[in-house]
Amino acid sequence: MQGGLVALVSVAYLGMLFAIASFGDRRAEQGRSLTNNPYIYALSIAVFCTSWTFYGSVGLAARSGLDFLPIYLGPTLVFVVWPVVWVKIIRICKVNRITSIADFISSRFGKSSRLGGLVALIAVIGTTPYISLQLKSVATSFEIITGTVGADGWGLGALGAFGLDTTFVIALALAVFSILFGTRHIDASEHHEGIVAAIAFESIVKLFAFLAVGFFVTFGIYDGFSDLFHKARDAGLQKLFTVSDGGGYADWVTMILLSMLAIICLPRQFYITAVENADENHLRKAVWLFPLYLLAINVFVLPIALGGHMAFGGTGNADMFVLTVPIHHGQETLALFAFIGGLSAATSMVIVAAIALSTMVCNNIVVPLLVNRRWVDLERQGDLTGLLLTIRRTAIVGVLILGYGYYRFASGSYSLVTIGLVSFAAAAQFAPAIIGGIFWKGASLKGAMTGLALGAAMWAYTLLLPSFAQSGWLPIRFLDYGPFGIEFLRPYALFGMEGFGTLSHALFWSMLVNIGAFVIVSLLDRQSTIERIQGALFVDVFEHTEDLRDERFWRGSATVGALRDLTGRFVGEDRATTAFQSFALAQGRELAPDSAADSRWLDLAEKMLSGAVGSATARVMIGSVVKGGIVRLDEMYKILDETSQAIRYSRMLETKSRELEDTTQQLQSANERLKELDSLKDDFLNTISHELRTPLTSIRAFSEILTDTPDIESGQRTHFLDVIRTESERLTRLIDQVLDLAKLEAGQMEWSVEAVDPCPSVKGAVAAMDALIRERKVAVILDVPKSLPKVRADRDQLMQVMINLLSNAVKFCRNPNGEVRIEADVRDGFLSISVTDNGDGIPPEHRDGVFEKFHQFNRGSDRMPRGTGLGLAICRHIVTYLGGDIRVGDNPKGSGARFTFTLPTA
Amino acid sequence: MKRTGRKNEWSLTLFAVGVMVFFPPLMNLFDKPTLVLGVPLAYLVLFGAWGVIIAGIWLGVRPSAPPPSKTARDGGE
Repeated sequence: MQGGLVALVSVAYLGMLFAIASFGDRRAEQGRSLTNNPYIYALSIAVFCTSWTFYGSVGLAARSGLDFLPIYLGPTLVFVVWPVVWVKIIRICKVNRITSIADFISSRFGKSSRLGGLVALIAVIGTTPYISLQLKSVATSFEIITGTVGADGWGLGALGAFGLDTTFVIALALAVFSILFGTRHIDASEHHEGIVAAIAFESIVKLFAFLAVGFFVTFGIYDGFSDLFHKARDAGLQKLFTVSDGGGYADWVTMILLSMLAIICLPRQFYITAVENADENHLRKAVWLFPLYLLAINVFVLPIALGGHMAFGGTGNADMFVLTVPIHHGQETLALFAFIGGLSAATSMVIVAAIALSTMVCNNIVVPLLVNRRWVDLERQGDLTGLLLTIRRTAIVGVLILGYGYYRFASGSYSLVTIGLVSFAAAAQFAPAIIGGIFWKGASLKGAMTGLALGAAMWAYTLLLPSFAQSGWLPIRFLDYGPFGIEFLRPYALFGMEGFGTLSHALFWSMLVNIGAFVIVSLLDRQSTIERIQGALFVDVFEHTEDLRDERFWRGSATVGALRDLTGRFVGEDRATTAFQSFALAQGRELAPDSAADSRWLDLAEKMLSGAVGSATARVMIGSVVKGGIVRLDEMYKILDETSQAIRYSRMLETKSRELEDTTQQLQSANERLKELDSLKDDFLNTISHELRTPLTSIRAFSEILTDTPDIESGQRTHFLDVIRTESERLTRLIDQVLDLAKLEAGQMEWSVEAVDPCPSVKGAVAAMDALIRERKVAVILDVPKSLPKVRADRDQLMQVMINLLSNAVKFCRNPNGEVRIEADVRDGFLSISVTDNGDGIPPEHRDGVFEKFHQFNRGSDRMPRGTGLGLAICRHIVTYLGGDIRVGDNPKGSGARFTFTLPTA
Repeated sequence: MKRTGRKNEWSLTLFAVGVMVFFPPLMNLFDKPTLVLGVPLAYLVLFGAWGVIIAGIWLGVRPSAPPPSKTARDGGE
């Protein structure tokens, strides 16, 4: 057939697609959506059927029989459980406005941009072989239909004569086409209605083209299925009638599992099924229509393979039987139709994959990089659509060039299905993160990152690198003897695991490390709050969105009716209704159950509920209705728990700092006390040295006079000697008292406390002071009852107290008619003895101080100290020690002071 | 879309049937090169079971009879 004609028909077909897409977009803009239709949706999901299905399945069937089926049985099984898987994924995508599989995974795991970038990267690398598969099939089919190669399917490129590689031209053409399609404008929504319409149309074309060839082979060349199969059996092709020619089912099972994962995880499948879904209800039809489509397109695979086998006698490129069999039988028009079918299968895949991948590359790799590295000031630039479009277009060209590169350098010797399975295995790496992410709240970001990275690395090592090695880009020894000759690490028999197909082997190892790391790291990791919130949003998506009532709360409000129903459940319907009605009447309104409830209604409901179930529960109940669970209750508790932990910590800190402040204050006051004590000690030393110096000075002065003037009058000498003697006595007394006080203060005084008769002590004291009393000419009146009860005291110390008080009274009784009165009295188990003089008395401001050490308020004209200033201090110490009390007051019978002390009676 | 528990149960049952038919050891029974009705046995059984499962999905997705309004308002699973 003329190359020009084929090219023209191809371009015309692509032009028609473009027209359909434009039409779809226009209809969408007018609000009369073409794709808001379950049939279109189901057909668009059939983008799953690519050149692999159209050409590759027949090739595989011609080699190993029914082995091509698992790739379609797996997706059917996934669509069987659509209520569990698809509804959930689609709901999540809608609620979270997800635009791609990378977006989905990164959003699930705390909106991590690094994880999104990793997913996008794996998606691009993983899809590359798949795109190369399409390029290869289009190029090969073009060469066959234009007759530049033999009907056996092998030959030189058609455009080789012009120095051009057909595949490269096709790659460029598809890139341009995808750019025209997918990036004409940046949509505000994530839907590309025009493309979905075009993809659906392509699905019809490829199905009918394939069925046409199938019909021709089965009913044109042969006389129906029975005839065909019988002839095939006669030709010795029975081994193609079975799944396994005695070789076990490991690869069969592997491929079913792999395709189950792929139908969810292939970036373009996810995009078309979940992101482009216009209405969840479309699933109801799509879930059986899509498997039916798969079944229909597969019915004739085996017949065409057998027909090809019989036509070419087992030679020829089995991957191209769909094309070569009609040509062999002279059906050129049918062959052209088949070519267009193959073209549609390839273009639909490439367009959707390119759009999905370019969106991911743009949104999850380039833009985050631009923003994070601040290469472009996104905030300052106004209109970014131009930048985004450029990124996406560049990404599309890049993706196709990658695909072409892989085709050129790595996929040459592989069959279509083998290349496709490499991509399937890459996409399957997303499965743990997606499936785990929507069913397991504990799945964490680090778990997903580690699992994905390890799984992808294992995939690259066991599938991608070997394909490079087989194409000569790596030394082939790498496959046979492992890297650096380490046989243990042979990529097709890792750790010595042999006896599996390369695919099963790769899938086993990559899934082992992927799932293993995902689960173990998730279990060991602590989720951040955003991860937990996103986890709950994804796993419990139905709980937020299922109910009509909940949907209203989703928008942030509760209705009056909902509140009334809730209250009614606890307090009784009638009561609730009556209360709500009267509340509405009080506001001058009708009760409108559908109106949004404001805080007054909430208040009413909460109060009524509080009466029935207590305020805490009422609050929770109201909360459950009003908030509608953006975050589930247990999540809320977890967050609260975290917050309260933080609060607890800060409380602890507060307490600590308060304790610290207290300690500091204590330290400060202790320090001040120490300073005070220090200054007291200084004062004491000052005073005592002064007190000691005064008598010493006079002793020294008089002694010097006596020494220097030997002829002094005898009367004067006697006087001087008297002074010296009294001053010495004073000095002795002072030192004695200082020592006593020191002993008392240090608690080293030896006490002999017993029952003591106070009278002898009092009288003894008066007797001891006799000389002084006479000298001062003071009358001492002893007004003490004849018999006094005994007191608990130390005899000597009691005497000391009396002597001190008496000497003070006598000394300071500066009155010509000096009189000191000693009285005793018993009251409340205490003996109280008072010493009263009729001197000047003690002014009230000094009364507190007189018991302090060295406290003297000297009012004598000569300013000479009358006492040591220690007597009263010693008295207080003694009396306090003996359990009594000492105080000073006024003389009740005139001027003067009165000292009274008490002692407990024995 | 309203999801009901019955749909989940039905779809999981159907899934179990699919797994049983499409996985060994049951496959050993029919994976033989004999022709039945002029068609290979494995081809017949696999496509037959496939069709039955698709019919099963179709049965499962039919909208159930509208529930009484009270339950509709309570909703949920």
